[in-house]
Amino acid sequence: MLPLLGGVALLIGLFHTAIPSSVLGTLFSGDPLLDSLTGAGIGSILAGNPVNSYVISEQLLADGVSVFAVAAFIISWVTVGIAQLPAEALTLGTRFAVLRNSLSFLLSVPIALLTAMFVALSGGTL
Amino acid sequence: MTKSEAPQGGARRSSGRGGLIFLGIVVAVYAMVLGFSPETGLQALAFSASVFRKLAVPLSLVFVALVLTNLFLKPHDISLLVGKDSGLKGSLLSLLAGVLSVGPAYAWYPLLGTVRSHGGGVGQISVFLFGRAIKPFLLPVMIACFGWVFTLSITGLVAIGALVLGRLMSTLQGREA
Repeated sequence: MLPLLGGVALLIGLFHTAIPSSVLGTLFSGDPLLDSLTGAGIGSILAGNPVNSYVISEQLLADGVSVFAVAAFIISWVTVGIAQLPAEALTLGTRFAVLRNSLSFLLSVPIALLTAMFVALSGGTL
Repeated sequence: MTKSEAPQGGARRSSGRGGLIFLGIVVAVYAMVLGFSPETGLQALAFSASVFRKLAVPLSLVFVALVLTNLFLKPHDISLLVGKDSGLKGSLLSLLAGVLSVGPAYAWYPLLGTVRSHGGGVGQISVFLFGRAIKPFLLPVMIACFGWVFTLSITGLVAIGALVLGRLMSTLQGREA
């Protein structure tokens, strides 16, 4: 198991360095659905302590990125793991890993849309 | 059932060699990155080292839990608690376990593999992994960053989403798991 975990940790380091948080804000268009998918996609690639996703998200909101995108980003940060996929497949089965990550990715979008809807209903800005 | 679908035996038996192959591929990618852009490669290595350091405590906890599970929990017990037929009670128990779990998801894979080989349901394992998005100790941070409404909404919806995912996984993966 240790080589597997070592590989995952190394891969996370590579992803983290290859995609600096400063360029993330440029990837969003303003369309709720598209931004949710983009947020979920970025969250799926990046990994680490969830606090990091909060800090990055706070900065994204300050830069004008929507609540839709940020919510999807935060959810998929924990629930979807591209870097961890090989390890999950080896321990729990390839079909399980692919299906679970795909469904988690898809689920993050409606959850993000509903979260943003509740924020809007409470008088917050999207 | 195909080899790739083998939930426990096949997958776990091959995980040792598969892990080494995976590590070898990642090391090869690093070698290329270090060759083309040494600065990026070294930055990535430094970040990975910090990930390793953070892994030590949760991984230790997981291995203790793994030993205790194998010692005290029999397959029949696990089937009753979080098995494919444990129903909503099993899913809620998995959700609670996921919410309370610490450390990265991949640190939990060995334990989840054992749970599955002892009769744990795919739906319940999926609920556990999705429920990890709820971090009770980090809720104050989330409230400070995004406010009450966002935090309560996303927390409640993730809990519901975890149960939905569990149901979908049970249905789509079939009841063989």
